[in-house]
Amino acid sequence: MMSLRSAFILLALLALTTALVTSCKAEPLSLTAGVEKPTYERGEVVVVRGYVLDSKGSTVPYATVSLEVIGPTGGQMHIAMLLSGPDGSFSDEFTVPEEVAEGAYTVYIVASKTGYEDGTLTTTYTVIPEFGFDKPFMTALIVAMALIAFSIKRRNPSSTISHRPADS
Amino acid sequence: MRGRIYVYGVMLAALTLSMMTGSLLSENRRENGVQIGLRVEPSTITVPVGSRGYAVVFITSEDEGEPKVSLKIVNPPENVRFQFNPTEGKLAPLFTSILIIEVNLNASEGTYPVQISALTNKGFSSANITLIIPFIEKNVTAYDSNLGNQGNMVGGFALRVDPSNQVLKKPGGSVRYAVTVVSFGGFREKVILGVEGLPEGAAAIFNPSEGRPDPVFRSNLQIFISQETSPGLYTFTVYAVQGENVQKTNATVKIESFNLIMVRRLKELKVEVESDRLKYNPGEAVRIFGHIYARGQFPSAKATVLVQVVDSEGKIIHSKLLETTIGGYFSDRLTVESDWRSGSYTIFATASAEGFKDGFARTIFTVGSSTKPSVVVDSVYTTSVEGEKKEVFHPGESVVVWVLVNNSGANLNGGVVWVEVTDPLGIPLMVTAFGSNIGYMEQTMVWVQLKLNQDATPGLYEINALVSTGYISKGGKFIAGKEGAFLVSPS
Repeated sequence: MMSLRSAFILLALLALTTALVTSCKAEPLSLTAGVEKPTYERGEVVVVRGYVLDSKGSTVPYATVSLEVIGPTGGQMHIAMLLSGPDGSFSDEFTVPEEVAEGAYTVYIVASKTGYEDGTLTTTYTVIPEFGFDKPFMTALIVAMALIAFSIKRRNPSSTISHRPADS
Repeated sequence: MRGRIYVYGVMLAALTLSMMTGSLLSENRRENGVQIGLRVEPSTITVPVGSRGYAVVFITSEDEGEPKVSLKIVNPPENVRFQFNPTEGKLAPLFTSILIIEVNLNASEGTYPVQISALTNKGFSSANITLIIPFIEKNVTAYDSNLGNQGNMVGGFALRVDPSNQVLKKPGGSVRYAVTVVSFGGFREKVILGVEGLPEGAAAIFNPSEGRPDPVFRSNLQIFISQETSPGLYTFTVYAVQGENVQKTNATVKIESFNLIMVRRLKELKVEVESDRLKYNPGEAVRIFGHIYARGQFPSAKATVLVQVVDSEGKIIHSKLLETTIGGYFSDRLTVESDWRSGSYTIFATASAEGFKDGFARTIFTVGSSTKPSVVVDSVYTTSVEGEKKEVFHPGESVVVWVLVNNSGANLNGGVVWVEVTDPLGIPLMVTAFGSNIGYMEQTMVWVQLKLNQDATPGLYEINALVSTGYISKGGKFIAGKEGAFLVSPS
């Protein structure tokens, strides 16, 4: 009975050790990355920069970096396959199309390299209208300013720009 | 040997100078109501004794009946052989022929007027060219790059670009050049055409980009100048390469002023790498070929390429630093050792060149069998809707992008084939994803149609074809890729 129990414990320990060894074998990759600005207008160039790191925080060269950008409506906007450089860095850039929807865009990044566990990271940026305001807001603002100017003119109809005669 | 090289340099300079003297418009004659235009470029040709020179003859006619035309030399000088290739043909409405001038070793130096005549059944035309046979010391063996040593002649080829100067007046336009490669001495090898020194934002495309001169190989070079390019006069070099034999010639494009669009885009090297096969066994040789180019598909020489082969456990089993040849090509070779494990092996090629952002490419091959998918994007090309393979499109047209994917490893289940098209300003126009299962030794082909707007930005459109193990947003990763390109021309 004891021998059976011992065998069971031994087997369990062996399985646990194997599982631990297997899980330790593949070191996980991690990513630090982001877009250069939080907001972009149409026609601007979005730049994504980052580093691939190992579990100790050391940079990992020649890792494959997969990148997918998804728009606010769920459609893919951009893809890229990159390779981290000798210093572990990577970068990608693309131009925001003129017809693209405003809103939040999510950049999904996966770093992979043989012998490592994949590392993932998600970052976002927002596409905003030109000048940071949308068209209805700008139209309302212009109309409001025109009305204010008109009402000032009505209150003081005689106000004109006049030149003072030069002091003699 | 020194003497031969010296004479080679001098004669090449003489030939180049003579080619720059321009063209001669013929004395066009109207007979029976039909006008024939005859033009010879260059109009002055310097050919030393024991050498060859070349000129291009252009004949035009206003006759719509495609009359037959034949070419003839009137009163050739002694010991000089003239040969047209072809001697005759149909005017439809332009007929071109290469004039090959061979100056015998017994020819006397001097300047000779040579009359060329073109005859049709309805009229004729003639043009005079000047042949200069320069003085060369008799104890020096004549040698030039076009001909090789006359006493022990080896085959070779010559290169011409017509016209040598072009002007672009409108924004986002393109200019065309006729490229002619003429062989001699039985040379019939395949030559590859390339161009270097184009201005920033320009793209070049040869149609076709390679061929065998038999004895003439003709290609069209279209250079597209995007709105990013600054106005100015640019000199670029067209070359033809066959092994170590390289022929070069310069041409210019003048870009007149137009509105500039400032685009922030790094100059990135593009890299292509592939192995000669998808699967190998121990003892077999793996041949690796690659090519680098800059945006616009013109080859870039003098770049360094780090080629690394990584096994299925991530161990680097081969690493070599190479230098690209002219044309941007590189190659490497390794042998599959008997102790290599079965599985997928990845080839990484990272290219660096001064003034460019590093570029990289990867491909994969299998040794024995693999428990992982070994996927490569075999080809990326474009066609019309009718299926005609083409690389130049116009606004309003539809472009069909085709991507062929091979798998020599384990089944790829839940894979995704992606196609992204980016316009000349770096704007992604379209991203399409196709869910696909690709089994062992299976091929998958996907296509996607893109309708160009009427106001589509002219220039080079880049295609990024990738394969992933799933959607990246759901934890997948890219495992293979290849780039392609097509041009949108406004004219």
